[in-house]
Order: sequence, then structure tokens, then C-alpha cells
Amino acid sequence: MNVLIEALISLVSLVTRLAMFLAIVVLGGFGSAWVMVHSGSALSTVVEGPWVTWPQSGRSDADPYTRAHTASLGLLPLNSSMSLTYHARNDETGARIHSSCDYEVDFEPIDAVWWSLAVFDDAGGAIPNAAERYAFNAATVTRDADGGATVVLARDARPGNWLPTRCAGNLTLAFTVQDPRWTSQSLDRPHQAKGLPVIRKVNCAG
Amino acid sequence: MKSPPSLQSLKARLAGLSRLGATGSQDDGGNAANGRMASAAELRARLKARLEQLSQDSAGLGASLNAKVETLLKPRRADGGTAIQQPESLALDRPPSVDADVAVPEAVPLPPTVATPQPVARDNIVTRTINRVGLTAVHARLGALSRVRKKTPALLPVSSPTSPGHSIEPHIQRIDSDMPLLETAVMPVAGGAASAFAGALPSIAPPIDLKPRSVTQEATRRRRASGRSRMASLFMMLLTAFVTAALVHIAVTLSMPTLAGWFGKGTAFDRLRFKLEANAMKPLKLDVTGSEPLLPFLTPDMQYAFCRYDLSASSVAVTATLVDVGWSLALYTPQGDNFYAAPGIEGRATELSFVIVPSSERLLILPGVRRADVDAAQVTSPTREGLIVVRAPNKGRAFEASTKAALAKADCRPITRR
Repeated sequence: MNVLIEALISLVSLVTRLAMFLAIVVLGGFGSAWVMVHSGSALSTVVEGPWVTWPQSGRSDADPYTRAHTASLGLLPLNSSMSLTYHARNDETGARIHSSCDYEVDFEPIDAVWWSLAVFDDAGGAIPNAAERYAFNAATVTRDADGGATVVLARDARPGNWLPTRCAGNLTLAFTVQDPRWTSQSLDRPHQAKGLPVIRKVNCAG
Repeated sequence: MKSPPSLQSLKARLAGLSRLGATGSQDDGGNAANGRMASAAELRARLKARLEQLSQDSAGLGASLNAKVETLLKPRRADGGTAIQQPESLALDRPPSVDADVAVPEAVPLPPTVATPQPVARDNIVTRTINRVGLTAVHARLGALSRVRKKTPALLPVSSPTSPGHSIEPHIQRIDSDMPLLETAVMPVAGGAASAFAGALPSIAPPIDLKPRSVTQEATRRRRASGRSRMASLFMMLLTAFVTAALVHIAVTLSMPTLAGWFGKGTAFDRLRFKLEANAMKPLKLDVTGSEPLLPFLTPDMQYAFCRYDLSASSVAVTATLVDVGWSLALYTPQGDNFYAAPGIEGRATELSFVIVPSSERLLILPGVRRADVDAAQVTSPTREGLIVVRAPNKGRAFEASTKAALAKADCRPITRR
């Protein structure tokens, strides 16, 4: 009887240790790799307010996390020396951007030859809408008198630069600047990028 | 309280008395024989009285030593038993009055605590032991042995692992270290000398059975060794797990560009491979109505033309016109690395024409051809396959048709060799 109890205790101890080992390997190995590749870290990303960019994206000599990020998500970024893309999943208060709320995205005058602001659903797809509005760029946005601009994200039509969000759920904004001079300045001073839009929540439905 | 005289002083006084008797017998004249005899008898009587006094003094010395030992050991008995340690001052020191070189007369009785009817052999053993190590040391050692033996079950729960502070091991080790001393003192006497010695001192040191102490010590040692082994095993397991996790982290991160299909939906090249013919430019319209985007986060305010080039059979010639700013042409490896890009220039169109060659088969520089021209016309691809992407921004509905027409001029085709 004692032998059986001792064998049972040994088996439970072995199983516990094996489970602990696998948990550490899976969570510590796969989990940490997944988080660092998909969400990024200070090693591979630059964060400015709600905006996150991968400064080495598109480069052949990029760090392993950036290369894994690009490959696993199926992205085709231009070389970061020519173009930079910032993504925002949260507004300026840190709350997740959601289609149930209306937002204003305010631009200061941007000293770049080409820029674009697009809204995507959680899977990175454009949000279908009858107006066929998916993005605004330097050529299509209606500017204010001072050269800035305001883009409104809302379910229903709004005057001015309106991007329909419908019922897409969680949203992601992508701000792309294609200008070697602007990108080189941003890369030289990664936390002082000028002209990044401010995302303000206006109101939420219900 | 007057302290009893020491053995050395008593011996000196005896020697003085002997000398005094001898001197008296030589100095007396021959006619005073009776007087001398009377003086000798008187001296003998005095000497006998002195001897008796010496015996009593010696007994008093033993009693006082015993009392001193007991006094010194009383605080140890009164404490909680956590510090049952032999006083260092009593460990091996001999009292100044007891010298190993001075033979104790056999007539001198042992201290009361040890003065029991004893056979001669036991007396010899005790005497030799006392002579060898000193009376105080023997008393102290045997007293400590007795106390440790008596207090061990109650004060030192050696079988309980929850009382590590009450370990008996230091005392057992101390006693073990002392055993050779006692054995050295006893062993010269043949024939069960150790048992005889122990039996000679029943009130001081009861017979010592080392077996229970050894079993307890061994069990404690095994328990501690087992605990240390379990902790070491757990530590090694955790260390191995973290090292393995780090290796998995590195392996997953490095292999993800190549094995992206295993970890997700694959790279952009994987997703477009079956939608594109090899070495042919094809405009693709973003299908926003589908549940699956063509590619995630592909800017929707642009028109795209894609070419999947394959250099396994031949090099590929590429031509395109970048009409304005915002236009671009980029070459990608299957893993998504952008190894070549050409942007449009504001205000004027840029004509591009080059040949993509594999890195192992760069075209030879022919005589008479400038190297710069050749380099400008060739783009070396690090991989056999890849993607060519021409981006054309939408500047509004009015420009949509012209943009589409300009994009349609982009071309990629294999170079036919004659």
C-alpha cells in the first residue's frame, strides 16, 4: 500500500513538473515571441502617443522581430528610408478605437510631399461603405484655412472629411508618410516626429 | 572559605617531614638512643597523623572539585536545553593542582561522587585516566555525556524536522570527538577496560549506547540530503525550462519569415502566389466586399499592379512610369523584404526600365559598356522569386481613369535568349 502511495505521489510530482516545464516553454517561448512579433516592444518599435511604427520595416537588414512581423502579417511595406507607416489602435486617452464611437483626427500642416490616413477593421481590411471612402490623402483631404485638416470617423455621414466606420467593431488607423526627408528626420529623432495626428473621441453611441 | 591545599603542596609538605625525620636520626648522639627512639616514634606518629590529614585533604579536594564542576554546570542545566554545549574552560584544561606528572597515591580516595566500592582494576583505570587527562576534565566530559544522554529525548527533538535550531548534532559530534580521548585513557588496560571504566562511574556517566544516536543522525542527514536533492532538481528543471523557452523564442522569431504559413496565413508572397502568373504584371483591385482582404493594411486609396517574378528560367525585364509623387515601384523577396524601391517625383514622370537578375548570374560587363550603365540597368535579386509592386495613389474620381491607364503601362516579362 505504501509502495502504491509513494508511486502515486511520484507520478503526480512528475506530471506537475512536466506541466510546469511545458507552461514555461510555451508561455515563455511561443508566447513571448508572439507578443514581441505582433505587438512589438521597445527593441523594435517606436511609440508616440497612440501611434506605433516599426522603424526598420521593409529593410533587408531589419531586426528579426521586424522581419517576423512583416512576414507573419503578410505586409508589403516600403523601405522605411522612403516611407513610414504609423498604426493606432487607441485614442489619445488610451481607450480602444471602436466603431460605436465618433472620433476626430486632427492634422497639423504636415511638411511631407505625400501622406495618407486610412481606417481598417480589426483584420486589417478596408471597411465597405456605399460612399467608397476608405482613406484620405494629401491630395483628397479638405484642408482648413491654416493648412491643417480634420478627419471624422463616424458611423453616419458627417460634413467634411468623413470616414465611415459602420459596425466594424475595433478599428485601426494607419497614417503613412511617403517622403524621404520627413522619414529620415523621424528616424533620426524617433520620438519627436512632427505632424502626427491627434485622435480625439467625440462621443459614443448608447 | 579556605580552599583545600593542592596535591603538590601536600607532597612538598610530606617531603619536608621525611627530611625532618631523617635529619633528626642522624643528628642525635649514640647515648641518647632511647630518646632518639622516642623521637622517632613521635615522628612516626606525627607523620601518620599528617598522612591521615593528607588523605582527608585529598578527599576534600575531590569534593571541592566536584562542587566546582557542579556549580559551573548548573546554569547549563537550568537553561532551555538549547545551549547544551561543553564549557570550553572545562573541556580539556587541567586544574593547576592536578598535574599528570604527579602520581596520585592510591590511598587517596576518589571524590564522593565516584567513591563507590570498586575492584582494584577499576581503581587503576580511574586513576590512570585521571592522571592522564586530569580529574576536572574527566568530570566535565562524563557530566556532559550524562546530561546530553538524559536531555536528548525531551529537549532535542531530533526526529522532528520542524526544530532545526535544536539540533543534537553539534553535541554528538563533540562527544564523538571526545571519545578517542577517553578511549585513549582507558584502552591500555586490557580486558573490557571501557566497560569497566563505565561501570566504575555509574553515578556520573551511565552506559552510552551510540546506536540510537547514529540512527537519528543518519535519518536527519538523509532527510536533509533528500530535501536538498529535491530543491536542486526543481532548480535544474526551472533552469532547463527557461533555457528551452529562450531557445524556442529565438527559433520561432527567426523561422517566422520562412514558416509564416505555419504561424498564420502566410507572407504576402504566399497569399498572392496563386493569384498571379509568373513574370506578368497584373493590376489588382482591392476587394473590400470580401471577408478577407487582399493583403492586410494595404492602403485603400491607391491602385496596385503586381508581378510575381521568377528568375529560375531567365532574367526579368521591368518597365514602368511613375507619373507623380506618391507613385512608387518596389521589389520584395518572398519574406517581405523590400530590397529595391523607386519613388515618383513631384511634377514630372519617371521612366523606369531595368532587368532583375539573380545574385549568382549577374550579366557580364561587355567591353565598351560603362559599368554605371550596366549597374543602373540591373537589379540583383537575393532570391529566385519575388514580387514587383507598382503603387499609384488615387487623387480623386476625376483622376481615376488616367491613373489606371498609366498603371497599365507597367510591365514585367522574361528576357528571351537567342
